[in-house]
Amino acid sequence: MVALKMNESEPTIFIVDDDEAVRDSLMLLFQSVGMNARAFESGEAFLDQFSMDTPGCLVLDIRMPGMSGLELQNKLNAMHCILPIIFITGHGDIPMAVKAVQSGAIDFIQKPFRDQDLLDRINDAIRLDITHRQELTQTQQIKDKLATLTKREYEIIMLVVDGCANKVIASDLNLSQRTVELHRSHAMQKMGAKSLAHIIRMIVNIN
Amino acid sequence: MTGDSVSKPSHHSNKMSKTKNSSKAQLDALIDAAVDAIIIADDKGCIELFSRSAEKIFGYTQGELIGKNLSSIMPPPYREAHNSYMNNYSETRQPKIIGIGRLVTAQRKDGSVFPIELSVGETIESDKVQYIGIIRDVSERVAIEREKERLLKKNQAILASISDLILELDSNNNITWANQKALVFFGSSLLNSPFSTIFNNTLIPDTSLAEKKKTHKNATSINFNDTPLTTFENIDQWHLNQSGQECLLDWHCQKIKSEQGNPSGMIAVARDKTADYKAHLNLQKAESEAREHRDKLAHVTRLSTLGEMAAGIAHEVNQPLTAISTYAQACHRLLRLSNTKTEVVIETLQKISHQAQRAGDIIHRMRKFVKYKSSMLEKVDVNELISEVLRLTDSDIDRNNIELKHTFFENAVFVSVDPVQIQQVVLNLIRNGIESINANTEPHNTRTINLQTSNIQTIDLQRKHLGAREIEVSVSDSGGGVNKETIGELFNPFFTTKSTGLGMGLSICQSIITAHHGEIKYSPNPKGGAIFSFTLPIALELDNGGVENE
Amino acid sequence: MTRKLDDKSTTLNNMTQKQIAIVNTNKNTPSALKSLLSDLGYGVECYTQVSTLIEITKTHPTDVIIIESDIANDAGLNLVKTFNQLVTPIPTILLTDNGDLLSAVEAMKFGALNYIEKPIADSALAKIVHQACS
Ligand SMILES: Nc1ncnc2c1ncn2[C@@H]1O[C@H](COP(=O)(O)OP(=O)(O)OP(=O)(O)O)[C@@H](O)[C@H]1O
Ligand SMILES: [Mg+2]
Repeated sequence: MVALKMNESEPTIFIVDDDEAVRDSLMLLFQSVGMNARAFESGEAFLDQFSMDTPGCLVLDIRMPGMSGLELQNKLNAMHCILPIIFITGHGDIPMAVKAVQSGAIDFIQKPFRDQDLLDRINDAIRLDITHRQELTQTQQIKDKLATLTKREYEIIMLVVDGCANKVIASDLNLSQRTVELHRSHAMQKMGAKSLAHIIRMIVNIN
Repeated sequence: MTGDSVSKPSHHSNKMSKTKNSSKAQLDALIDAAVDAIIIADDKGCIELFSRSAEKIFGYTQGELIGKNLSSIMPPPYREAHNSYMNNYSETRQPKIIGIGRLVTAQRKDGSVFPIELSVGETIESDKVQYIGIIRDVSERVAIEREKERLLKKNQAILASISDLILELDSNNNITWANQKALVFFGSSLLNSPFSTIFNNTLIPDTSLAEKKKTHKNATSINFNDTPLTTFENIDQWHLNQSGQECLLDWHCQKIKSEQGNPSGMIAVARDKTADYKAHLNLQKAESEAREHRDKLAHVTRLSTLGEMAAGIAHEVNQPLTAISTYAQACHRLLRLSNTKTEVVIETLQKISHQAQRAGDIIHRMRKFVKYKSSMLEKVDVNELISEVLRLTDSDIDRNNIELKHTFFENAVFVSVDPVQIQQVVLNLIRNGIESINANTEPHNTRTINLQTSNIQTIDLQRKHLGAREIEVSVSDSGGGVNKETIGELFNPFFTTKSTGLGMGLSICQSIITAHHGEIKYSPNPKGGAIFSFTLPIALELDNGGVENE
Repeated sequence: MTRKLDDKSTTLNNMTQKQIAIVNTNKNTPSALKSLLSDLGYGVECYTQVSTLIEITKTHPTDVIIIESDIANDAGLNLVKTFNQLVTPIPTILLTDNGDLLSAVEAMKFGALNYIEKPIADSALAKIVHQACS
């Protein structure tokens, strides 16, 4: 395993393959294109050492002694780990490939592969992971902001997003129209929403 | 007296008449003392004198026979004919017995008939004709002669019935006698010729014979100058018989000692071993055919086994290929970078060549396993042999997620075996184990195969001592085991319980192990599953690769 | 082959019975699959023309489409894509005599529910179809 400085935020390619030479050559390949990579000789070792917070993707061998690639995939799914998986396999058998993709694998590549194909898939996967993570962060941020609203502000914002006019809300909640307007603008401020359309997008996003 | 002649009184008168009393007494004493019986009869055959010896020989007293006719002491049919013999002689004077002496038969008082030697003389005194018979009991002599005759006949019969060729040589090694078989084989010109002419006249090996002779001691030539010939045994020579067939003779030669203990000649015996030899050749041929058959079958099943293992092997070859391809592509990229160090590239190229070697090894191992060669014994370490099999099954074991443990006997154990065939046995057993584990649907099914080699001592019943050391190899699995009812059929060809099985695996294993003087057996695994184990004789240390399977 | 939409019994059945469409472009082989699935109580229709199938599914509810072919080809993959991109996608199952890994992975990535290589045990197939319908 080539020791590379781990950078939490920098996308990392995780390699899990029991074959030393395969691991080593992959490390060299990723190094040659300046990508961050870490290699593990087994699923167990990977589970032991990886961090869910590191973005990137997993290049996973199917057939390994001990925990198989598919088993590792299931474990990660059960942990709600969203790391995209690209399987690489020496002898592809169809049911395995079907299973892998059904369980969410990005791709299933046969060994030996063209380096560019693998790199392309990896880049796709990493991009996907980053977007995915960003989306997750965004929804989290929205959720966090929503949590800062008072009960009344929350009530009013939800009705606004549902398309109710201030007048309707006021009568519904038995408030003055002025009060509704005040709460609404406070809420919009707290949420950092610049327009009605913006707040609607935020709420739809978290749902 | 018996015989076909009758004496007649002769005309010659005798000077013995008017003898003195003293001479008469002398004569009586003489007659009584004679060992031979003396009987005197007149011309009518009437007995006048019957000596004491006659009494002894015939069992009659003198008194019983004086005055009786001679026919009383003759057995029929001479008894009846005797009178006519005598009459005949009286008339013709043609003596048939008188003065001649003959071997005839007589009859004792008790009726028994016995051989006698009879000589008859006649006296004529004052016209009185007397016949004097002197009789010797020769029954003993005749009996001895008959026995001699019988022995001779017996020997002849024995010699005639013996299938060996027998020659008698004199002290100059000339053939003086040969039995019928020898005469037929070598031709009658053999008699009186020197033994060397036939013994040293072995076949000059022609093409067909050259082959046969290879397996035999080289033709022996005996130096016949040193007389007399020495005793020898078991010399095999090829000769041509009279009908032109090539025959293998096994010669033995034995001295005949004279009464003084000096060698007086030799007996040479040759046994025709051609038939034995041909049977031996046929047996060898049958054995080698059986071996070839087994080898071919083993090879075919190795091929099919490898076919089944192809997926795993492909995977195994694919690993180094993947590494090679990835290394090469990485190198390519690295070389395009300006800051790449040459050492990295050199190191990577070395790794590439190492991986290529690795792929080559897998293919080499595989080719070695499927290559056909007739079984050749090699002295190898069992542990080494099995480790090699494990390299072949590695990918299969991994793929099926099985844990394979092995416990090897700590020292190297050498056996004289055909390595590929023994590997095939181990491989078959491991594969059966894998298949059995896969077929086992029990929920808490562990997936392990245990391989063990152990040194065992067996008691050699024949020699009644500890010996015959063997190595035992056992393969146990955690599968479903063997159904009790089918245990007896396991090793039968084509017995299988698998939909895709051929049922040849164990049958081949058995024939291979048996051919290596070992045994293969099944026993249930106490922890569940099956144990298949086989033994092989341990090769003795001293030999240099040769087989010493005891 | 057209379906009689006005047939009352068919319409009635459609309420309770899961509808399966089988496409088999290899016209010569009658589908053994059809009798198997019919026996299992599914409403089964066979199509040899991809275009007919596409037309029919626009108006006629179909729960699962089984794409049967002797070889895995682009046509099959395109169908998977087509039905997966509908506003309400229809699950597809590929059933092939000679599958290959690449097309299996492609099909799955295009959204096929399953990719099966023949031969397959009837019971296994029944299970897959049942899961696809629920
Ligand atoms: N380890 C085992 N555990 C349980 N049953 C076994 C085991 N090994 C052999 N058998 C039984 O013995 C039968 C004969 O085995 P054998 O190896 O001769 O043939 P096969 O494995 O069926 O076919 P193949 O010719 O492919 O080897 C098997 O079908 C199985 O029923
Ligand atoms: Mg077998």
